Amino acid sequence: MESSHILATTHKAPNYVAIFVWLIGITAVEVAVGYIPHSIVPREVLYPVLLAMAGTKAVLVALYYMHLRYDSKWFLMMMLVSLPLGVLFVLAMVLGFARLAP
Amino acid sequence: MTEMTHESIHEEIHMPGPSFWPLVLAFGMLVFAAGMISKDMRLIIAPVGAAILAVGVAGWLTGNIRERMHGPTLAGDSKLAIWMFLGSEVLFFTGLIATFLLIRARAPADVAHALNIPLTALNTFVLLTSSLTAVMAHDSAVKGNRSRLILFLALTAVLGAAFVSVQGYEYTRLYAEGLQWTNIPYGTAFFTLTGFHGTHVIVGVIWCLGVLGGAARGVFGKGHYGGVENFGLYWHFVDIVWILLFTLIYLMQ
Repeated sequence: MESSHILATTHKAPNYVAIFVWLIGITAVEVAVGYIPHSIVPREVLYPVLLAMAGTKAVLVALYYMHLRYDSKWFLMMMLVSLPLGVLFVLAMVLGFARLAP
Repeated sequence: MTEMTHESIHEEIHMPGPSFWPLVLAFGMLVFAAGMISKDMRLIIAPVGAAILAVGVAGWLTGNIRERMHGPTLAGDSKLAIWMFLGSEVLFFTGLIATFLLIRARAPADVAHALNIPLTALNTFVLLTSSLTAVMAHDSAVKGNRSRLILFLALTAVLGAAFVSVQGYEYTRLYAEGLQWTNIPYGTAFFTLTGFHGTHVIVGVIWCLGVLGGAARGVFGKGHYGGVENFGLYWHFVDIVWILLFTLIYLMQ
């Protein structure tokens, strides 16, 4: 029963439609920002803004549609544990590609 | 805010019985991977591996569904397993995305000119909508509303199929414009990354249809919606991956 106690959660359902409206709204802004010419706003400014918006959408889906905000923190741990491994993975790949540089 | 409470999971831990199907599945993956890296025998070995893989998945799923139909529910434990699986998927897509970005950094500046942003923005809308229908299906299952559950699962499957169809159309257009899987490294990285995501969507649609069949037979109800929840977690994860891919591939050219 231990596992069941760890994973047991009780919560109110969020307003899924409101989250959806936010997701669509952010996507619309994102597409508009994507069309801004780099000659007007440099990519050093545009790209972080685009990444922040994509990250916000991803977090909204994870927190409310996947119920990470309400569920057991063990589930969140499953995702977070893989992140440092992913960073190490990417670093190894970058170093590998750097060695291949002409 | 809708006033309702999601039920807790209060089931006994139930370990599934021993099965040799995971070994068949793993062997199929090995043969498939060996086929894909083979120079001369790819068209023979890879399909054989894919067939073994499909048999392994089918056998494992069949046994699992039979056990679920006749044995105790194992919603809490299978949910933890799904999260562990999604954790491994994070690494899988991290590798693919990193490869894509590194290859694109070396590609010519106009290499992505053929990418169709309005079309993929529409497809993003389709997938986001499917995430809404998937979570509404979960909500319906929690409330024990079977007709709404069936409706939202059907909508999710249709929207997922629509996403894959639009992606297929996009691929034909890109091929016609010269961006192909094997002609330049960018093409290889692009089609591998988006293709694996599309494959995940296809798997999700098949999974959704399986859950839909279960819902039609009355398998799910109040306190017994683990199958719907697990499918939803996978589907939302695939949605999150696309949210990132859309920005990284199409908007940050």
